[in-house]
Amino acid sequence: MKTFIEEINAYEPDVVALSGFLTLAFDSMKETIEAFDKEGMRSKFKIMIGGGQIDEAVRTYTSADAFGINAVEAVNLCKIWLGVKS
Amino acid sequence: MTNLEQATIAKAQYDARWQRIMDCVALKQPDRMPTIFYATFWLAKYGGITYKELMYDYEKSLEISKKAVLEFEPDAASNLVARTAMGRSMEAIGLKTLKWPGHGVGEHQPYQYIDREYMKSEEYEEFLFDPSDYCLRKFLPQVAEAFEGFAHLPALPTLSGLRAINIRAFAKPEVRASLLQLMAAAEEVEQMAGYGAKFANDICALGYPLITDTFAGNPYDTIADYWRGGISTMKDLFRHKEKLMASVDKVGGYMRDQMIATAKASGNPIVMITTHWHADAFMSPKQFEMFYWPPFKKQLMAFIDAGLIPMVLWEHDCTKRMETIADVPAGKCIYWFERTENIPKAQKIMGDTVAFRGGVEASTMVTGKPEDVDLAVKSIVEKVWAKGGNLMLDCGIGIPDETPVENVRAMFDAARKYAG
Repeated sequence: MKTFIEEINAYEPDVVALSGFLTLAFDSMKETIEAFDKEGMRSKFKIMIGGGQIDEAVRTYTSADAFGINAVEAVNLCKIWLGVKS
Repeated sequence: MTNLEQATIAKAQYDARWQRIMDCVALKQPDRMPTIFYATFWLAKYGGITYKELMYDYEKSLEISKKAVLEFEPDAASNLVARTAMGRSMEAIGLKTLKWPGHGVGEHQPYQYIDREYMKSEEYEEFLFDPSDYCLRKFLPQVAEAFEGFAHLPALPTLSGLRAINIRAFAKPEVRASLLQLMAAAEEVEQMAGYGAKFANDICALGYPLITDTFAGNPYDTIADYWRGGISTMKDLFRHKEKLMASVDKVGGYMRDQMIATAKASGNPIVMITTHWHADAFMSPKQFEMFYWPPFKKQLMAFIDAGLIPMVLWEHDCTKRMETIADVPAGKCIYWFERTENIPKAQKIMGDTVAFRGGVEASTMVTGKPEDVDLAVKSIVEKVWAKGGNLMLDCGIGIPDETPVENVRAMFDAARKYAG
């Protein structure tokens, strides 16, 4: 989490993406997003989560802004958030 | 009650449970929706031990696995011991392709698969020329310490020379060390298999069948999982098409006969086959129809022709594959879908062809409450079972490791509440 926060402060991204392929990732995604809240940085970027086990229930659980189950969905989400026309 | 009376009751319960599974396969809805119990590291949570203990302590693994079967009373269970208590065996072999609890990852963390190119793209020709020689002298020495010495052996066919003096290589210290390590490792695997067999026998005597006793790979994923790595195989779809297809065909050939023999020897006709790299996100429908499905269907048909019942775990989202994978004979296969949303779709496309397994998402089990799990079961019953679908209830890939125990109770309770 510390690394995430340091890198976000260094790069100031528009989007932060958390990837998790195992159910093990659900809690660490939730805790990471909670850490962004505590740092007061949550509103500065959008958060997407992704991976084969991810769905709307996990998005709600983690408080991410959106989820995708493959790379194409991730790109499409970025385009929408950044106003990029296809 | 006498022992004989108990045994008679258990036998009748076993037969009734197994018949439900067979009825589903034959596309005849049984008296109630069967439930299947499969878990790996969740058993550690259930038994109050670490993941490492579950993998290394045969007795505890056996005790917890039996306790779970008796509590949840499924219609069939996986061999929970054989699928978990592998720590000592993998350590004895010196396996390098996985990290496991207490061996590369924490004692409370699950496996980590290491995706690497164990076979280089320029080695396809060697593999195709002589898979056995390539496997023994090049591939295995990379993936497990116990085989490292075999890299010092001469090409296997040269051992057949007139004077047979090429066996001199077996005197090399590296080869001797490998042979000794392999023998010791094999004894450990025997011990593990013994505990697996004890679990199967014990639950059978209590009235519960194993859903399957044979795990098989499939041709494309064998190349991707073990030889080339998933990422490299995806590149091969473009850069080495012919060699990839030839290798998949070769692998399919040697796997088929071995798996059929193994399944027949087990006495259980259901063969579990996992799938990994076919998903909508990993290859196009055209690539699926060219590289993945033809050799896989050939394998399924060989199993069916041998009187076996393939049970395919379709991992990931299979939406774009539905029409293609529906092309199997009716009443011969079980399709287990990881994504619950795939099952109602599949019911419309192939409900008159295959039985289904699955029904509750991992996300619901891990993040939901018992009432959410209850609703999830109710939903899949309404969408599939109530519409004539031959569904065997399970989670996407068995019980997720982090699932609260009360959610597992809710799942099995809800099956009886909503579907007989």
